[in-house]
Amino acid sequence: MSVTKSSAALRDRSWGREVIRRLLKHRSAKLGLPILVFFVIIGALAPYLSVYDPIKIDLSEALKPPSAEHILGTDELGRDIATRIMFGARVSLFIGFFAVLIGLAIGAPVGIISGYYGGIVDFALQRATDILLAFPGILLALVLVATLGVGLTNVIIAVGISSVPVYIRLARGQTLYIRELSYVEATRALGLRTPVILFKHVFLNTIDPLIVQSTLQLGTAILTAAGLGFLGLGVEPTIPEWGTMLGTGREYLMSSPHVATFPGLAIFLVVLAFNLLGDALRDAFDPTLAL
Amino acid sequence: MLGYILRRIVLAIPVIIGVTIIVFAMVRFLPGDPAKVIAGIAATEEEVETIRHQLGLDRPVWEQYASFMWSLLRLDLGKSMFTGKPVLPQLVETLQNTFVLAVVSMVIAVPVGIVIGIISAIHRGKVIDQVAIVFSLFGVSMPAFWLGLMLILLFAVTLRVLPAGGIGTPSWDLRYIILPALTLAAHLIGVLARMTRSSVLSVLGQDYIRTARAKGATEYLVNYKHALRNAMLPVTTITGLYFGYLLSGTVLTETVFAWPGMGRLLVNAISNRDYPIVQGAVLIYSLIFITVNLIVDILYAYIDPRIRYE
Repeated sequence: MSVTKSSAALRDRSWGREVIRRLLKHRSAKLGLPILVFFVIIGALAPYLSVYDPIKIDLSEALKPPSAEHILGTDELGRDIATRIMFGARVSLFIGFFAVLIGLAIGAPVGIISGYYGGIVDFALQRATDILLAFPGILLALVLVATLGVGLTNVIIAVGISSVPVYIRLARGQTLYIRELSYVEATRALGLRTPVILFKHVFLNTIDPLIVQSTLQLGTAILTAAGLGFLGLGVEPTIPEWGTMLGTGREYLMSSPHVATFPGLAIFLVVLAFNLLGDALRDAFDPTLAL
Repeated sequence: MLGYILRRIVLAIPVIIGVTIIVFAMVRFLPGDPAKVIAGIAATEEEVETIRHQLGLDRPVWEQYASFMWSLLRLDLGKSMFTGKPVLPQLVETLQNTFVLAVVSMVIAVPVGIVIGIISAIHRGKVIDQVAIVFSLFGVSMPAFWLGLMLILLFAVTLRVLPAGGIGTPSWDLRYIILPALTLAAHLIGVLARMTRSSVLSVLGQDYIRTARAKGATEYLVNYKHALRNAMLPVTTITGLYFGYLLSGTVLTETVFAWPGMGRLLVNAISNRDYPIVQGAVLIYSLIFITVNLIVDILYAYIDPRIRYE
């Protein structure tokens, strides 16, 4: 095998099949995957699965409890809640996916560079990371939304940036370990260009923990975005988003509890599914860690 | 040890400066003209000019930052754009309520989370372990704002045994804090149970545990003396570090329960574009978080001397 080939390529196709086999056998995945598939399907097929419009207002139908006609009832503007949850699945998964992508795309390279070069570069990047980490939890996303303003794009940016430090820390930690391994030293001795080493031999070997973290992070991102929506600082009011639905449903908690109950249940189930899947993936990649 | 403490404190200084720059920049980077954004759409040109001058936006950036820092050092966080009242007293007043909520949640979550984790680990693979795993996973996946609403629905609306929100008058009525504290604690219970379980399990796999068993120590002694003490080290750190997340979690919980804390003040201020309050609240949250992390780091180095030499 040539050294320029990725050292991660040592894992052939049968290794990938083995991971998937272990994943599908894992108890957490058996529960998490079906939940996730369910939400992906209702999100993808939302316009075909429902006869109702998720946005059109019909006040004569407002706040109807669950019935045969509206299985999850209607909201304060007479819109079918089941339909809005289906369309909301698109929104939440979309926000989660792109937010995690932003976090990964910025965090992983910064973390790898920080860990690989060490010294002053590492010091400067780590202090910058400390600054981001000084706004814990939803706070960084709140700061960003307060500055950028509300809306779908800004929510994605805000949630994405607030996940950047997680990836920096993770990628750096992995790189610090990989950097010392003899095969990386060998690539240096062979005179490979640094970008090649960093991508093929460092990045591709940090991919397992990055995938696990991204799965868990999808849950966190969806939770944070829903939190912003609940606070009235999320996407545009016309977009059916679970957190926003829950936030408005709160006003009618006493008389029509179904308005807040079902969107919240949807958020909980999707986040649970990603957490289950993340746990299962961790064990599937490295069965020795399974506890 | 003293050297380590000093080094940690020195390292915190650039972070604190960075935080002040971000908080300062928040208002500078409002899209468009910050003065116009703050004044609102209906404002006249003169009103916009007044605000521009008040915020010092007509001066060079470095000068603005310098005067921002100078005000901070004198503990002057400005006045609310809405009520005209000074920001700091409002923050201090609401922070007390937030602090009480966070501490009560901690007091609930830490023992419950750790005990669940230990029971789960010791009975690994049994039914009780499975139940504990599912329970803690529910805790970490549950949106706090939804859990809060469901608790209100059950205990305040249906059973009518606990108040739905507020803090109670005149002094603290303990019934008011039960639901928000439980809501806030749920996530931490889940995190701690998961953390404790894996920590105890990894310790139970160590050689010295086998040695303890081999020399005939009872199961009880092995579990509670040898394993637990060592397993608690990472758990302690996580608990400390988690205090900051608990504080940020109060933002959502306080909004659900109309708890008059700093988080609710912050959310209202963001909606009202009351930037001096937003800046002040964000700054205080981060400073508390940085301080708590610093204390945890130092305590950790005290407990585990190896850390100091890294």
